[in-house]
Amino acid sequence: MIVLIVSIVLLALILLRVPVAFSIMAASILGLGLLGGLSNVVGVFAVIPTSAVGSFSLSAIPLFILMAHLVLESGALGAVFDSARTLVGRVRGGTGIAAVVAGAGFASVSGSSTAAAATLAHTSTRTMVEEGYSQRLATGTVASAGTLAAMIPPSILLVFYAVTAETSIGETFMAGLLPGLLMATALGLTVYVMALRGHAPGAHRSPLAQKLRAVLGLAPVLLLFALVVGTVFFGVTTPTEAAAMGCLGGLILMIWRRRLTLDRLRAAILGSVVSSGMILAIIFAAYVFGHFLAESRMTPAIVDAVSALEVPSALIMALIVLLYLLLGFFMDQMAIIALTVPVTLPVVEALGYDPVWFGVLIILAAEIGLITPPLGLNSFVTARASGIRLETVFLGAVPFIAAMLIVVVLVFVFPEIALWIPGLMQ
Amino acid sequence: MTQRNNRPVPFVTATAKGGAILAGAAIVLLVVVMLAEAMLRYVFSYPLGWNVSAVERLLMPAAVFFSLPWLYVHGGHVTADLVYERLAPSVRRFARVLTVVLIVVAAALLVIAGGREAWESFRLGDVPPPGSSDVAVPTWVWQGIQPLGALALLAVVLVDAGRFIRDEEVTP
Amino acid sequence: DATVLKLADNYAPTHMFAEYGVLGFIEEIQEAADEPISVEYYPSGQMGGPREVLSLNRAGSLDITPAAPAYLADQLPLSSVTDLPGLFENSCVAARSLQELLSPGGILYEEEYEPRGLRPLWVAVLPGYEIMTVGRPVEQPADLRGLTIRSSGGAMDGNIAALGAAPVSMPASDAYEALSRRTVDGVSFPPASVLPYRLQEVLAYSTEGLNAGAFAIPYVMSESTWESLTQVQQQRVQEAAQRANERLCEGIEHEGPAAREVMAEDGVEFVRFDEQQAEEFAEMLQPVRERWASELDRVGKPGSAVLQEFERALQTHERDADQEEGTA
Ligand code: NA
Ligand code: NA
Repeated sequence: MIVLIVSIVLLALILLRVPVAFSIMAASILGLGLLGGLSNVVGVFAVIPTSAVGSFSLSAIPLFILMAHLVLESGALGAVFDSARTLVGRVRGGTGIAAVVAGAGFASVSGSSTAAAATLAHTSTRTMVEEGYSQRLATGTVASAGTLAAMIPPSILLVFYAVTAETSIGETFMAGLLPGLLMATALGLTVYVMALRGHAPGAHRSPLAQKLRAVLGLAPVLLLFALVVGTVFFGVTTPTEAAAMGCLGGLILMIWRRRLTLDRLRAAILGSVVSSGMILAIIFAAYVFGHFLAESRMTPAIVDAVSALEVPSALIMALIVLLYLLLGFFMDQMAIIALTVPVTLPVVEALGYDPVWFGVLIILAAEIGLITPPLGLNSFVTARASGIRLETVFLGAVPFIAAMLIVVVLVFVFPEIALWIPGLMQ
Repeated sequence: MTQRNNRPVPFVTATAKGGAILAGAAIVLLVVVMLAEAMLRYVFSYPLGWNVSAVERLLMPAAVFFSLPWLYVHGGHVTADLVYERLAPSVRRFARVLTVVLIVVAAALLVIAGGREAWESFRLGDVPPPGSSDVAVPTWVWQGIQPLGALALLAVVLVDAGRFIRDEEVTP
Repeated sequence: DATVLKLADNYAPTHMFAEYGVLGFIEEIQEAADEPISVEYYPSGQMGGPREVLSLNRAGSLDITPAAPAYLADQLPLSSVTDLPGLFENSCVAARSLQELLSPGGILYEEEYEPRGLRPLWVAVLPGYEIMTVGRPVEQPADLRGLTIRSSGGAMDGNIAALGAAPVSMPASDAYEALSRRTVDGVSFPPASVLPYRLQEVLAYSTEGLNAGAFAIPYVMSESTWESLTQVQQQRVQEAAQRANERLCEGIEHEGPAAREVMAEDGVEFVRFDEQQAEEFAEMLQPVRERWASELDRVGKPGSAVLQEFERALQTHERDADQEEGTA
């Protein structure tokens, strides 16, 4: 009962636009106080926030964020979109497909969705609209391609999931690769189908020499991706060390592209302070909430109740995934993982499912909320950056949401999509 | 519509900036410590040993807690959303008052509870003994990061409260 | 209305610390009908790591938690005297000796637990730490140079450094992940607690008979909780704790050899030293105890006095144990 009240308070605060971390802390204060009085609240606040963020594994998060900001400041990502556009050539909807490829390229060096959507919106929406794309298709493409960053490694959500679920960080990190590529393919196909239905013109043709030059434009980002993801895959480094190397790589990229100035460096570092501060604040708040949940002893009760149910476990799993889909509509993805995995994972493991696969699946599901109303952050960012009405962006996202749902179902039915690559690492 | 000054006062921006510099330095040091450790370990087979506790006790808390005032000033409008924008002005105003109150309560708790913990460690003289693999700083130093960062946030929010409640958005 | 006590630790309910210690203790103090006590048990680190649960206990959020000196080197440096190498082989002898120093009047209680408002109830001691590795076997001291070895912290750091390796302190529950990710090259671990963490799955080699230290874990109640109990309840808690102490050390003595067998079955290779190598290792470890004491003396803590007290207590209890065996 207390858990229910506290959860409703939490949701209400988030909808009233109280910052997520503070919504969670406020709900926790209420819950901890109801269960154990003021001394309980003070005890938890004395200890848990510092120890929650004081984790060596979590240090991968600020590092991956800094790496993405350095690459962003190097300007290498603009080149990725141009190159992809040249390479895709005269396929119908080619520029839109190029935006998806650029989204995947950005995803391969960035760990979170929203930064990706903002960058893409700046570089590619206008180009598409100028070429005669419908506003709906142009913005829908960009908003959904932004979500790739949370699946294709490095993914901050997957790293955090691994820490929470106590799965291998390296393997969980790699598990996102195939589902991420599958998602990119699905989004690209969606653009193509929409183009055939008249939402986009054919693209231009480029000579072979230009195409070869375009490959070179992709090279720096691909090299950085290979460095970071390759060393983790072959077990040479941990994801945390790989992230630090990625930062060094980003710095080298800035130097190589002659973009290294004090201003840009400062922008990259301050940008990282905001992103990582926000994420880690949500994480420590969620750990405080986790104490409330543990004290409420709700998890074991749920696990027992679910295990006693006489329904097929696949049905229970489907309902859990549906729950994440719904939560994604209303809450921050990091907060969803932090608040719910301690409750759902014991159920999933009791049913005998693989925790790494589960992590991939729920992040895929929760990410859909990034482009849907009411809190579709990627859609907001895309609308703001392109100057196109939010309603149009949400409408444009509909076919992509369908594609994303299909990918969720595929990963649900064929767990190997997530587990094949981690399996190769053992 | 009358133009009113909606910039935070210099104390707020300066505190936020000071915190951001410390948090940024912590993130840069994370990279440095991590690379140094990897280098010493793989190339010279001589690991640092204290790097883990330096990251866990000093750098990660510094990166988070010192960033709090900067987040308040610069991260405010990331949660823009349809629901909020469709609320009546009076409800929106209530939501902003509520936001300030809740941040003040949570920050005060982080200060008081964390400060008490750090004070206890100071009083008892807790410090890693000689030869320990933990980074050699007294316990109260790293336990002090949370209350200090939260105190800066508390000061910033209290000073800025009137402006925040009056205005639609925090735009420095 | 029963008095509610919250007990939290970092071990699964199937771990020997729970099986021989916590579970029986809970059962016994909940049994009585007069002035009843009911216990809420939060196992498996639900309430946080070893540092966190103790802080929560001191702050009033919890009532009974472990306070292992190894994880709290900054708070309980003297109490990690038990972790020094080569002091004892038998868990019961060590546990009884430590319990003596932790009781009111004992030097560790007065120096470290009492000032922090903590009252030790019972202890578990895991003797006989070995060095266990993933990559290559440790056959001689030179093999350890440059390896990072997981330490339980505290005095164990010094033991590992003395062997030429770099200690990385982390809770036992992180060891599996650290080994499989090669964050560390090996662990310093007692065979008895390898199985609960499934380390045998990732380990390839273990030394045998190194005795590179031990691990002691007192379970403590905060003084404020203790004072809130009635005299009848206090007595019940104390008696149950005393029995937990005995059950635990006997259980641990029983688990050690059994664990070694399972590890071998799972493909962990045990490396025995020849006499010369054994001597070399012993020589490296011998000065560790003196150095530990004198370094603490130097920073104004009674390291030598604690070591002497502990050695004296060990002698007494060893003699008692031998006599008991003789009469049996
Ligand atoms: Na990514
Ligand atoms: Na207590």
